[in-house]
Amino acid sequence: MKASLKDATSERRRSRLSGSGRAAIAGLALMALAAAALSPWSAAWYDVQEIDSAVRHPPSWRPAGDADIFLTKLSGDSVAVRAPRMTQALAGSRSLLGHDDLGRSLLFRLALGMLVSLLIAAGATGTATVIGTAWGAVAGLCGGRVDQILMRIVDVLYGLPYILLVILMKVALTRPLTALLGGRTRYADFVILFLAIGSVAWLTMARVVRGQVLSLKHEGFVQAARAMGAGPWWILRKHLLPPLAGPIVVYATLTVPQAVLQEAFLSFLGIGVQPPLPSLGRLAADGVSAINPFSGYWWLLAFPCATLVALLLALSGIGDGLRRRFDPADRRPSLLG
Amino acid sequence: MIRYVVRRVGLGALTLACVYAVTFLMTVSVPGNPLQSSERRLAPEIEAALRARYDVDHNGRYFLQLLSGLVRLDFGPTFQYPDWSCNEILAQALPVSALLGFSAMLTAVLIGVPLGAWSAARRGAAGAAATALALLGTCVPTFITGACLLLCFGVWLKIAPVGGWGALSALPLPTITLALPFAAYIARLTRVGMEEALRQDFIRTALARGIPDRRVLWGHAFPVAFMPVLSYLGPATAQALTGSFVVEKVFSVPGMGQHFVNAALNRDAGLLIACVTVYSALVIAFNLAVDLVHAWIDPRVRGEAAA
Amino acid sequence: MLRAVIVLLISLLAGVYLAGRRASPRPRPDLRYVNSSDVHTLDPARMSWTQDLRLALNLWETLCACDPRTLKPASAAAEFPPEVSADGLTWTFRLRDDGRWSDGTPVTAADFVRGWRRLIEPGTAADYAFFVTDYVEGAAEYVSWRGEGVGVLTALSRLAEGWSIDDGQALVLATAECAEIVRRAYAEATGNVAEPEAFSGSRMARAALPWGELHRRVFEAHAAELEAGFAKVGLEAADDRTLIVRFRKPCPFFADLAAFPVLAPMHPSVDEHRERWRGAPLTREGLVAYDSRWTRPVTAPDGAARPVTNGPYRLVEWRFKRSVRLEVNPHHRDASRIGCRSVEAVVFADANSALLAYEAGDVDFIPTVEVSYDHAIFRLAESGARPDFKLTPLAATYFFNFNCADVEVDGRPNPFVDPRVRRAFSLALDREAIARRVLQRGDRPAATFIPPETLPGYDTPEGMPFDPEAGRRLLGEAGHPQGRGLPVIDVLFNTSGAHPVVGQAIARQWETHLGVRVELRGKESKAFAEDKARRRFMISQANWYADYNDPTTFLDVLAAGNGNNDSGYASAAFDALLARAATADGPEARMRLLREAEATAVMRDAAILPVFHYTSVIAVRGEVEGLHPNSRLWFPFSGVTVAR
Repeated sequence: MKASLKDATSERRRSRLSGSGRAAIAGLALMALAAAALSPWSAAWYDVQEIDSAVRHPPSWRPAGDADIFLTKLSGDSVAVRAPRMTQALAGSRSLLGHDDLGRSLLFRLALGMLVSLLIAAGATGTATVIGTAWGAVAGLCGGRVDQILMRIVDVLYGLPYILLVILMKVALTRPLTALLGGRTRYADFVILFLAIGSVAWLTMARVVRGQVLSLKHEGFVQAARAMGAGPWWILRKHLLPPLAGPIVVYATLTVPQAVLQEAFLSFLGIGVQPPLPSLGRLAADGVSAINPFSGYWWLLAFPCATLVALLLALSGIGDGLRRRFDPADRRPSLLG
Repeated sequence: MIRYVVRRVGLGALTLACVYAVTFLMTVSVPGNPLQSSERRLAPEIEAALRARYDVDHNGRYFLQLLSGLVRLDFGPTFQYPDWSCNEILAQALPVSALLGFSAMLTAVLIGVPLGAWSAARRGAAGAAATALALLGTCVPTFITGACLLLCFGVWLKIAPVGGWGALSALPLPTITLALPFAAYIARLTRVGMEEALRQDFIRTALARGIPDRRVLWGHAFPVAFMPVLSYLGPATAQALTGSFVVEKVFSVPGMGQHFVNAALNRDAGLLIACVTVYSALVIAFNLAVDLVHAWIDPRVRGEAAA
Repeated sequence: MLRAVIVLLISLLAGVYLAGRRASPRPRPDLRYVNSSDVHTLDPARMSWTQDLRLALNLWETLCACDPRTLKPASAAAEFPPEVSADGLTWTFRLRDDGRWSDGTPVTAADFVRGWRRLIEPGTAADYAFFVTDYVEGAAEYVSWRGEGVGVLTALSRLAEGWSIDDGQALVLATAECAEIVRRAYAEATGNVAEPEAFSGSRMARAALPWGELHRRVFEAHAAELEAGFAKVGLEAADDRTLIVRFRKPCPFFADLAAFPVLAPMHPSVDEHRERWRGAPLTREGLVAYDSRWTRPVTAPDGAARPVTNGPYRLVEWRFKRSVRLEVNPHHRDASRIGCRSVEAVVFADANSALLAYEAGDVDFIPTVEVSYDHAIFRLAESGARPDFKLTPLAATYFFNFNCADVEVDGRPNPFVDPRVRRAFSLALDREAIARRVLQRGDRPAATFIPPETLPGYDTPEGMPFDPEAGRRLLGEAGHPQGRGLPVIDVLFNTSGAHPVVGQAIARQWETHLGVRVELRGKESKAFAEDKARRRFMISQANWYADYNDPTTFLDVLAAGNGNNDSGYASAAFDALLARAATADGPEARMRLLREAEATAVMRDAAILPVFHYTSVIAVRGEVEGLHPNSRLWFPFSGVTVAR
């Protein structure tokens, strides 16, 4: 006991942390790469059904169902023309993770689902970063009354349950955005989802940025620039944003897994990504009903969940690793320790 | 101290008022007809009359109506469930959510704090357990954990009821499901706090003076490490108390979480505002309580507060 | 420091204890069943949801009953059959002597008039008001007279309080008969003759008229005429035991309607809860309104249990979104013979949890098993491996509405105004594949709107075949060979409804067979309802459950101007056939005309796209006897016995 507590009082090695961060980056890169590489094929596959024989076919090495549908859909497509072997090979591996209720390959749906989840998370994070940075910077730079009002608004929004904001935001944005995108429902859905998640996630970002701006504002180089007659926009762009980039990137990275989880929750409510487009959350939520004593479709739950957990782990690992690099003194806990 | 409390309560009331106004604005501005409860349509003059009866024909009037109700703590009728008033719905749902929320927070603290502290002091098994909990709590959506628990303990082992609420035996499964994410976060907070605390000079001094490990860990390091956990407990308790939609749906718990989601989806402004007001009031109250406990434990905070 | 933690823990524990102390469970009921969704209301007049109606059916006794085995009408509160005049327009119901309310008082004909009047009152906003207004003489006129009065009073009360009104309300003031004094006052005040076009909401709000005074005068006049107005409705309690109903058109299936719980009688005690304004039993807006909490089980100050019901059961407990508990009504004529003494309906928000609870033995009965793996349940039921899972074909249809009316939808041309395009899409749908291979849960492919062999005496027309070749040809004739020139087809569906896979499967079929591009647009219920009401769709998902045993329960939906006609289909030929059927000579001729009407709407005009007729699995534990599966999921509990 004594030895262990002594050990704990010593400085911890940082290398292990960044090691796990590196592993996470590698893992995520691998997953994202696989998803992106498969996406042309999975996009072709995501609404293709082989109604006859592949419905709820369990995972197996031998492909089930009729590959012709898939190949017909892809024929003439540049992907299939450029990589005919690859196309054949993928069509042959379609049953590796089993098939869903409509006989679609789970492998392909997972690949596309991961891409969709990542895109939504990235979009949400982008939205949150833009709003949050602007809001926080304005509050921090202007100070005084403006700062108070802006931060009070953030407080109020913090006081609202976030799920309410997301639901109402999604409902409110649907019509105008669909009209804006010329009735392309699928894209509109997508954009609305990440806007809704992002417009809730910016609150923390605004607080962080404001805090940083406040502390930087009184630094000598900012004061000097001001004395030389630089305007606030100039100061923000040339002097404040470069040192702010670190913390902004860190928080953006930490927002990504949150957004993935929130999308999963919205899918559980039935207001996430609309079918036939898959997302990891949608696939996992659909798979939950596999937990029952009557049907043994374990793969419909196990693979989406495993992918979701792996993705979230990798994303959190990257966030933590980045944070430790930029801000070694940060006390917030790490996920991977 | 009293001035500090008064100021905080005043600020809280102001925030609450803003939350209320924002919720109202959002509810009435999204499309969807709250009076349409089924698929059939009403004649226009009847719909106008019903709107007038519930004061939803003019947003300004509706706002005042709800506000005056709020002052009297009467949240008015709901549109979806004509036989019930918002107050009655809250009176039935809040105790359920409170029971579940309190026991979940208790579980989260009881699991998270010791696990975090141990894993900071002793790397190895405890560290692995903490990591596993963190994984489980933060990376698996609750709708999956809940369904798995239900199948294992309710259907296969038959040691917990699958649905229904009332008997105490119905409590453990939803409690654990709800507690897991909180426990994971608390464990992480405690662990980092402990690690930080154990590196402080006064700990080394204490160890050098030959004070037993156990006392150093719990008597010296823990109080410092617990501060961030305490701050987190405020909003977390408020969140747990107002229920979780997922846990309530999976375990058929008649709590408050479902009302948030359903009221928002149904554009039921009365119920929605009632829920949000209760939620915000709890958030503000628990934050205040946490700050007061902080001030009580740590005189430095009191000094800052007075200033 | 540790003390602080201990205090915290103790306070948390105290919180848990205090919050937990309130639960005090009652003994297990004889029968516990699952309500798949919350009970919306227990006011029979306002009901429209199956789970509510199922409770009402056991709480209230209507004039006729519906036998759960045959679905034929039978005797209940009134003797059966009722006395029908030669022209079929006057029905005389004789109430049985032994009908008793749960407080012991006899059930009278006036109680039925009270109940039916509540049903049609505008303030009730009942979905099923048409049961009376469509058939009973004078009822529609009474409702429109009341609606006009309500419209005028609403507008006036708003003006009196200094708020503006919209142009629609101003128009009511300009045209309503009872608003004559308003028009005169308006003409005097503004100095010109008040033509209807002079009325607009904003202009009226600016006119300085004594709105309060006008409102009071119209209100008093309207309230004074209330009883005289209702006297013109063909409902008459000739004496305590005799109810005479006069129809404006023959309604041969009225005995079926009279078994529906919305036509329940009402005990005089509900009037205690009626809202009054200025001494009249109306609200300021002229609505008949009740303190809606009258349905809640309470003990009144005089010791009587409320609400008072006349069915085999009475309401004992209602816990919001949790459970409703019924116990035998001790004054009911069959009270001593009822085997199942107490019933509890428990709400399970999640269908999967409900089935797990059934498996664990916590509940005895699930009226419809609706889980996402229901094909597995279907297989168990079909193979006989689980005799407690009973397969039941329902009188219900899953279909899609074509938008038949609007030339443009959201700025895009709507090709479905052309019946040939609608037919082409209907022909290119392989319903067999969807029902048998995608859903795999025993649903019957639907070539028609009305499920065959569920309605006695009705011979279903042939229906829409699967013929993609003919579909392509028709599409070509309509100017879209291989789908050319068609916009992206927009399919609206409700995300909270079951089986989004159906939409995906259908989209896929059309893309294959017709070469069109299809986009699914899922919306949550409220947004879906709004888009549907404004007809912002090309194709939208829908379903319809039979309310009574007659083809008109389906066909009326497609009549021009019907409130449920979401497709906007308006065909003079179809409406004429319905009208001719209403006055047809004899049931056979009537059924033939109705058959022709269905063929016109579904085959010739393809107003809707039937997909499948539902088949449901009912889960009943072996101990429970006497729950007969039927096509309308009609489950009276008074005939049930539980061996436990």
